[in-house]
Amino acid sequence: MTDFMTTPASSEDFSKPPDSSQSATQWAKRNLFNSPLNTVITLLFAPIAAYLLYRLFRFVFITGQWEPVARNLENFMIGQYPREERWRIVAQLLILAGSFGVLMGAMRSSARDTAEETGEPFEPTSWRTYLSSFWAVGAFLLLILVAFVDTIGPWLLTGGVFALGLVGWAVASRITAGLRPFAYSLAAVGACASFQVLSGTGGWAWLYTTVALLPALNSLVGRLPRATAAGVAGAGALASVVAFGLRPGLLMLVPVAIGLYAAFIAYRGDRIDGGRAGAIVLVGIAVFLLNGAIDHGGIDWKEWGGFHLNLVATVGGVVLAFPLGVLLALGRRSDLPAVRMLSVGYIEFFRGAPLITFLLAAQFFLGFFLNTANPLSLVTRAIVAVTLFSAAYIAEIIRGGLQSVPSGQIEAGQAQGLSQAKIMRLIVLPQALRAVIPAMVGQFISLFKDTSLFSIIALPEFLEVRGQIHAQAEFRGFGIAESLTFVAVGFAVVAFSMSRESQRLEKRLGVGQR
Amino acid sequence: MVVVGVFGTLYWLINNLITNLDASGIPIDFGVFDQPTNFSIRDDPGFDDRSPLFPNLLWVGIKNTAVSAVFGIFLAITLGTLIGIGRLSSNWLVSKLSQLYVEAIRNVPPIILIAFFGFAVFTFGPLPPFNPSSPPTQLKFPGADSNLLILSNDRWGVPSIATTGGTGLFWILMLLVLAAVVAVWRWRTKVNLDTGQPHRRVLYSFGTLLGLGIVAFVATGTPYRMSWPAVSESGRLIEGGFATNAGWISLTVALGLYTASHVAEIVRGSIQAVAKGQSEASNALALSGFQRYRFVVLPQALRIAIPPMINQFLNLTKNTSLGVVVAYPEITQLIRTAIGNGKPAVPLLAVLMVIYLGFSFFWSIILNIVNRRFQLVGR
Amino acid sequence: MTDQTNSTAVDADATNIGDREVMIEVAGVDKFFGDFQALKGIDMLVGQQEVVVVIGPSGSGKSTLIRCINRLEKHDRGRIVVDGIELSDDVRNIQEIRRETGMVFQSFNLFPHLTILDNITLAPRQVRRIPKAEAEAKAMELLERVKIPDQARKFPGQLSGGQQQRVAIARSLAMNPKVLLFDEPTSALDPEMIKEVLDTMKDLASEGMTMICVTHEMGFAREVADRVLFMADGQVVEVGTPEHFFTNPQEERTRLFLSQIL
Repeated sequence: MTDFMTTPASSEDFSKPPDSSQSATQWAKRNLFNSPLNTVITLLFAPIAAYLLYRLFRFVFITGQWEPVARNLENFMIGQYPREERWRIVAQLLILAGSFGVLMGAMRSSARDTAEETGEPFEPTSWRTYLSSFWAVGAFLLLILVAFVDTIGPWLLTGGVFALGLVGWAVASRITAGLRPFAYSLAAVGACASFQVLSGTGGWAWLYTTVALLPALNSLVGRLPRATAAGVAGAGALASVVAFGLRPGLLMLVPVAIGLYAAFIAYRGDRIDGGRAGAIVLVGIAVFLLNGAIDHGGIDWKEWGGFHLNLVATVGGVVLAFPLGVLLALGRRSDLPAVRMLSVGYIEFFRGAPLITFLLAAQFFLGFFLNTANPLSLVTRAIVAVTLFSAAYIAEIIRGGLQSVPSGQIEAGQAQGLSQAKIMRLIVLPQALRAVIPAMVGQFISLFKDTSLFSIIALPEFLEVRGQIHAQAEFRGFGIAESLTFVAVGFAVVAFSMSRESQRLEKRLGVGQR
Repeated sequence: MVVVGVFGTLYWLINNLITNLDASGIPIDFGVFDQPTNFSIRDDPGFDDRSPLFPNLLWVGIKNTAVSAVFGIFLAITLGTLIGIGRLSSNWLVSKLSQLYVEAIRNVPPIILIAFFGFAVFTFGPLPPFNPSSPPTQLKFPGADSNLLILSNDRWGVPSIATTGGTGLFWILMLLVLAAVVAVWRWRTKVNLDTGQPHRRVLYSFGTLLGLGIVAFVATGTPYRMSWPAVSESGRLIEGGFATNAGWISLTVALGLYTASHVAEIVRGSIQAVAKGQSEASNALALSGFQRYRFVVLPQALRIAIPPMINQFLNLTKNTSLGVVVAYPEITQLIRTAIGNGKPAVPLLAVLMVIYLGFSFFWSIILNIVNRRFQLVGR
Repeated sequence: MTDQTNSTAVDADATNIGDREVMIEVAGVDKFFGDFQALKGIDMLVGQQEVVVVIGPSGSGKSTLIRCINRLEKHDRGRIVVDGIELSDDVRNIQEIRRETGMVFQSFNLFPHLTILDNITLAPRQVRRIPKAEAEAKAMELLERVKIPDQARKFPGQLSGGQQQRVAIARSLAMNPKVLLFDEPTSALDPEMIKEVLDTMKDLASEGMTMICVTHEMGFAREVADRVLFMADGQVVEVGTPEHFFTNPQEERTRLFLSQIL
């Protein structure tokens, strides 16, 4: 029998794994040459890969004709946006940076508090993780700044954006739970404001601003004593009726309805919720009036162009399509056959045909659907088409999310005596929306890539600007591959970063795991 | 109440549409489809400016769309599967290259890929143009007189197969060859059943097909010959062989490459989705890696992969509409040209949408058939 | 702590197999997952036709140990020898050992796209190159042995958990293994199906199969085991025959564990 009790001759520590550090040759042996087949493949592919890398390097840095890109960089980025109004874009970027920073910071403080409460270790996302997602965008931006930009402006802008973002983040990540809803509202209002600064139009912005203020209002009203809350409800009802009297119209019935509802449920005893509804009405009316009072000095949407147009169209499309998508998803699950058929019909119709057919339709006869005196600009029409199109896909995503919420959740809510609406709002929708975040980001990326189709209806977005530049005599047939590469990389780095973030989020949220 | 609201809105919208169109004198009936198209397509001599819109425009458009889609799908499946499997390879280089391909191509909008091929590779690329004063590149066999390939920046000539007569007899013989192949297949299968030795029936059958096929070919006096492409007298056309235009190549290749990146991810995901326990059980039974893939992993991975893959095929079909960028005469481009030539937009675009809805419907039927066929039997 | 019999003393020496021939030899085996050490210097022998039951808390390394034996996990130090063949990195060695060992998993791992019959005949036909008719006859024999011959043409999804596990046992027997490894075979079963699987395993034991079972079923251990091994924290804490093990455990740890589950 073997002697098991021999003392080891070496001084190896048996409580540590065997030495697994490898030299380069060992690594190569393990990963490149570990079987006859792999050896052949490596010997075949390595020289090809090296050669391609060499050619790419040469193309980008040595023989590339980057002049069309370099000379028209501003055009690429913002199209024909009037140069004297450029401050709007700067303002928009800075406000957005700040808002985003505040949002991220608030979310971090929330995660920290949750970790404290549950006793689990707090694992903040390190800057290294963010870097692994965003290195491509960062590298691209840096490359452009270094290679093509000769003024100090863009450098300052980039620096300013980062600085504001970090400041917002630093401040917001330290706030307490009580202040957090205000931080969220601040970020959301900032986003709305940035859009308004950019477009200089009022439009439906008051609606989004009111929605943005909901968390703050919620928190505020929640702290009021019940009598005051009831008072707010009453004030809301009163104000809405007054507003209706001053400016009667179909639209004004909505706040009246909400105001009366607020008074009604406050009277029935649910003071806080009544107060909330009342506050919504009050603030809504206030914001609406405020909006009307401010002179925005409008920039028509048709001035937008370049990469900026792609980004704005994507964000605008998703934001506008989201409520519609939610409605369609709920409609699809409805018990009324007519509502269900309409929803299904809409969804199947817009998912069946390619986006370009809808863009063409928008270009040629969307204007005929409405009786407006002044024709809608092409940009507006394109964004409408994109919105209607995305709503169908978003509806399907949300439907999947709603289905993923186990029916036991609804039953548990019913057993607790909650109303259908409350169940939907407090139990189902939060879980469903959390489950669909990765798919929503995927839709966002998809829409972003699809905005390149605007070039087919001659909207001056990123790709079309390229075409316009090469149509000019001095750039005809010159630097085609370079400009195409520039446009392709521009789209790709943004899409790549977003998809990495989505994968990271998916893992972090544990979506799909039990 | 909601229904009333929605129908009311729809009615109002459509009413507006009709009134406004009437006001601008644009007809909205479908009579436009009897009118001539007023334009022609260069490479399609059957379609000229006197052809009526319906059915010629629609037929040509749908045909071209389908041709591009089919070839694109083949390219996507083959390339995508290889790359997807390569992503899981134990060879670091292959794995990283596959990952690079997927991440790079997947994130680029397909229209840019198409534009890249159309413009950077073809129109403004390194290849010469095709006109009498500046003839295209003609690649010949060394020492021979006929062309293997004609390359230019707007069309290519590739060899094709032409008949020299006697094909009837050849195909009759091929039927006999086919019978022989089937016999060989069954023989090898029986050998495997009886003795357990690997049947290698694919190899044997293919060898039989090839060998006997060549015999039949020679015996009937070589009824087929290669047709080499040549530049015509006028210097404007390709005679013989098969002429493809740059638009078709750009669109098909670009879409094939783009969809391949998605297919690769689907293939990779589906292989990884096969439960680890299946591989462990296979290993515990001493199945080799190849056997494990062939009998256990791939059959299950295929079931998982097929629905998203069919979705990608639908996407590719819809993406052929991007052929407008390279002026490839698929259905969207043709409709757009017709509108550009003054035909009314409403009926044309309506028909266009219906056509694409038809494609979607086709693919969803395929999906249903496949799903039902591949269902795992449960209790 | 003297005993009259010399091979049934309760201690931590897992290498005492009395006068049986050695079937499996595990010497100085360490296994790491990253920095975590799952197996710490395991020394163990398993004799021919011996039934060894391994028990212990979760995380003790018992599954890892048997998974190292057929190379589903790779051990970092030490030696493993199965029926005279030493387990190394050489693929042929690994395949040889896998032909000699069969494994039954907690989650059955039947191939859902193949019929029961095909599940059982796949490996014999592809690995041992046994002709189809012969393999199917043997498979039917095995299905009779596990008492479900009528399920041969069905698919795994149509069977109950207990039936699936019995098919899994038949599948592993089809390769004529010398040793059967069981990794918590009844832990995923409903209570009413556990008995049928344990009965099958008892039959196998009485027919003289060498078995290593990781399980929580103490009744099975008491009735069938030749030796019971208690593992905790990657080490063998105590070994003994069922009589001595369950009635008179020596180690504190063993006593604690037994009090929790008995």
